[in-house]
Amino acid sequence: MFIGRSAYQAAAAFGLAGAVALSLAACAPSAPVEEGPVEIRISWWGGDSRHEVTNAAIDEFEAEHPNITVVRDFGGFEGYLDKITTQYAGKNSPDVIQLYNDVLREFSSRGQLFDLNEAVEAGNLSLEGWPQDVIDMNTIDGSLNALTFGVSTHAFVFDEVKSAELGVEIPEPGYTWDDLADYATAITAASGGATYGVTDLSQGFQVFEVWAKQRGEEFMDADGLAFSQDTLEDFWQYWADLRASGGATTPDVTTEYFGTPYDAVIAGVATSTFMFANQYAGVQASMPNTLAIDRMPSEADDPGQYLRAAMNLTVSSQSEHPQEAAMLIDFLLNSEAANEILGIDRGLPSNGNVVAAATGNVDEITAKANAIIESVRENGSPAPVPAPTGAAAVNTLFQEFAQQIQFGQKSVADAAAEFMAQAASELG
Amino acid sequence: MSLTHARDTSGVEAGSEARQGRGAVTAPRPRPSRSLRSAVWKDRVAPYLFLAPWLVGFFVITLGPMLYSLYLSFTNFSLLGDPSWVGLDNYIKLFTNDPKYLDSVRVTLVYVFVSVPLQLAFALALALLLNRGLRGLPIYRSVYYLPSLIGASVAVAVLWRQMFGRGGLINQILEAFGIQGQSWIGNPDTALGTLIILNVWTFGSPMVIFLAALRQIPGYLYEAAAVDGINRRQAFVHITLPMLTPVVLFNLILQLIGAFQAFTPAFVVSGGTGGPVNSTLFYTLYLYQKGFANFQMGYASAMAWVLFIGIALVTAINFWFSKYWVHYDD
Amino acid sequence: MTTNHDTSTGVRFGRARSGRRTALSHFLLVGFGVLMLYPLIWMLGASFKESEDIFTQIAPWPDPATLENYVRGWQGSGVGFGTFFLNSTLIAALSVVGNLISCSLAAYAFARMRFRFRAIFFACMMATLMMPHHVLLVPQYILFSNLGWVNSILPLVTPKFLAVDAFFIFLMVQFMRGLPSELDQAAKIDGAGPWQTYWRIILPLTVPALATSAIFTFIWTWNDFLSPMLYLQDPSKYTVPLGLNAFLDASGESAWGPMFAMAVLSLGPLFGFFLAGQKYLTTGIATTGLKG
Repeated sequence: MFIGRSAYQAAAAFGLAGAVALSLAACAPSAPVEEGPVEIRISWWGGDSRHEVTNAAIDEFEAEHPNITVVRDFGGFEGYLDKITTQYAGKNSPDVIQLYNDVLREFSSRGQLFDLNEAVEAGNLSLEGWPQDVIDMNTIDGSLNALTFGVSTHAFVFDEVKSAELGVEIPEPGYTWDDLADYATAITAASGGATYGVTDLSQGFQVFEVWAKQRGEEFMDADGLAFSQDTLEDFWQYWADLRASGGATTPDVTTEYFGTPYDAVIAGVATSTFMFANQYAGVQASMPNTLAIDRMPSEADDPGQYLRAAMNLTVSSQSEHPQEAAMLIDFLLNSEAANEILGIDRGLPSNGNVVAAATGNVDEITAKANAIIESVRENGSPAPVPAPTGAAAVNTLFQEFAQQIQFGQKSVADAAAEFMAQAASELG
Repeated sequence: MSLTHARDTSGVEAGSEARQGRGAVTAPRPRPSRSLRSAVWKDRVAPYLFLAPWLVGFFVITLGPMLYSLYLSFTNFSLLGDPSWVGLDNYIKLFTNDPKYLDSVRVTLVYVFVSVPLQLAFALALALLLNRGLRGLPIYRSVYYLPSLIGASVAVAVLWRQMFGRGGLINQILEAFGIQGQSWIGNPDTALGTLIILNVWTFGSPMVIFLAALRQIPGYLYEAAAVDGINRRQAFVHITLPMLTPVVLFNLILQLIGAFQAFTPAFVVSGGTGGPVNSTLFYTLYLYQKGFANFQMGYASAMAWVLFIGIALVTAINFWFSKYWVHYDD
Repeated sequence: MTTNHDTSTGVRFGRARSGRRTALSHFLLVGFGVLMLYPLIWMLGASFKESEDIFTQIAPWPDPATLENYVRGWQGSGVGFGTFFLNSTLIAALSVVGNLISCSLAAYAFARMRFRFRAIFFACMMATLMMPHHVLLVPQYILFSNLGWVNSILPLVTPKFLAVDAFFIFLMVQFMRGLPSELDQAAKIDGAGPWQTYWRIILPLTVPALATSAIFTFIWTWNDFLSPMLYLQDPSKYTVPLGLNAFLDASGESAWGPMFAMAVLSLGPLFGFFLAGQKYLTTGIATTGLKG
């Protein structure tokens, strides 16, 4: 036991007269599959419909493995990470954990994730049908830390009805950033300022990621920042110009819809914005107007898009039953039965062999989004390699500097220079 | 209104005689104690028996975790690994190398010193108003308490957007007067203001406490005062206010503590960012970001202890001054 | 500002209020009430809207109206909101009982008894109010995890029976200190011990404070999100706020309609408890107790 724990235990024992037991094993060794009854716990976040399909798929898993009971601990996104980290600190983490990209590295670099290669070697997890770049994306120092639970890609949506009402043509596929700027400025002008043509996306590091890729650079690679300061200045200047021309939302409106810019489109405040393709169906269901969906704008032939993990499944290194946990992952990601139930709530399956099962009965709306993802699967760029620890802090910095430009507290050039320096120090 | 009159007890003394008389006569008469239990037991042991649940709770559930967090404040602790000792590093960084921390201190101080007096004045005014003999009072009381029933959920963020967002009620009203509004929650100059209003909006809790305190003032005080020919204003100054002071102190201290620790309004309205440009970055919101989003629980613990000491000082000052204006009967 | 004591005491100062002033009071109270309630009215309307209308219609009333949100919401992510309501009620009820007993005992000791360490313990009690609770979450979780209490309601309810909510101790202390000290002396002369004084004299006279504590405990426990989220790991044990949160995925698709519908229903028990408790707020010492 480490020192902090025992210091606290001493304090607790003061009241409990030593009743607190130092019982929990720190780290369970990976063991072969057990014969007797086994209980594992899975945690995920999501909305109503995700809970429904995930529970149904797990029911199917339990039917196939009568000796394994799966406790399902699910909830909304709010508080999810707090819960997982607190449970880790209490040596009581779930066995299978759904994690998002930003924090994956924080867990893996601290040795908190089970190497799924061990399950592959034991024959409990198959990687057949998985694109190599998606596997590489989650491999750090030879250890397979996670498997992508649903892939998606960057997309842009346009309110067809409102655009038509204002008499502005939606950009054709193959459109450029300049086309987007023209469209946005025309919309704002035609509406007399009541509706903006696009939400200001200068704080969107995911958008910048595409922008950098289109210039043959990366937002981050294994060594840290992988783009030039000019590229960043161009990006922030593009949005500064769009604010000046009136095409993009004003800073106060941008802030109001900060986390979810598509809410501005739902509310009719703006007619276009960026989102991930797997979010499209849900957003479309929240508004009566039809939304057109397209790839990101691009100047060159390279659209800079790749198959992006929507979220990931991992096994905790605290798990006492990592092999059974991997079996659950195998079932959820690779079986046709599970994917028929799960559908594409989390994005398309990474395993190309079960895409057909997942998309068997999708409606027209979802099919439009899927077509974008599939086109990227066929001829997109490779996914970036895992970013170093501290990437999450860099994302936050990016947003903060962009906001300071929006509110006129910093010039584009100053903000870009300061960002480069501070981000580099965050990445150590 | 001024609380300085509370020291002027001439009116209270008149009432207190009456109370003494009635109290002694009409108090429920307890049965005489059955045995000859020693006075020693009653005086020395009994208090600790009354305190027993609290003593257990304090030493086990509260003090232990507090001391552990004190220890963590001298460590690097990511939650995902073991803490490692770094001495005073966290505290030094707080005060010398973290401009965002100083932002959060400034935001919190503004919030505390504006929202607490506003909320208390509001709660007291409405409690007094709702304590009058107006028809339908229980309905008003309930309606005014309703907003305080809403938990601190994500729903509050959405509801607040309906009030202060670009298309919210405020701007709809302004539009009727031909004024083009802005997004009040998205502007760094007004965002904190909307959170202060959000706090005032839930004035129900201190209001209920004031109401309860008003009900606890014995009616015979007013009867006796009326016999003495004291008018309404004098009765308020000499009876109501002094009798309310213990609870005013309670509300003041608790609202201060609550405002220093305010977290939820900024968290839900700004989506956890404390934005725009840190204008709603409350102290505990920044603490939370550090501890849970940036995996720096050691640093967060140091922040917590600095805040703890700050609040303790403010509370101690309040208690010290309270002897000049709070009226107890013991 | 002036006050007129409630008519129930039979005392009135000065002349009766004029009709015009009463009308003005009502006008102000109603207008203010509507402004305060607008967000709730909006939520009520949204709960009857179709999902594509919730954030696109500006008017708070639904057009067309639908009950679909209530039907879908009640299913509560496959577990059912009925279960969540039962769980929340159980936890809130136990918390009320625990807080009333343990906090009033401690408050009586602090307010009406003399003993060594009183000042120190009182300072300790106040100090527990001042610690930002976010940094206590993890150590407390480790404690309860070692006790094997995780995934039960014990970590949520046990602290209430151990007077961990110092807020209520301090509240009751302030009310008890306001009671005439002659009461205790009279009781002592009559031979009453501390237990009898506490139970037969002080508690009945502190009913408004007890009612306030009960109301707040119920509401705050009912609305508590963080602790149940950390400690309850089995959906059949989830509380109402966990059920509400499970509708919302900030990173994807949120079921706003069902969430608003269940949030409206969730106000029901809270409001009911408040109304029930309010009765005791208005029957304090002024109208009963010493009138014997």
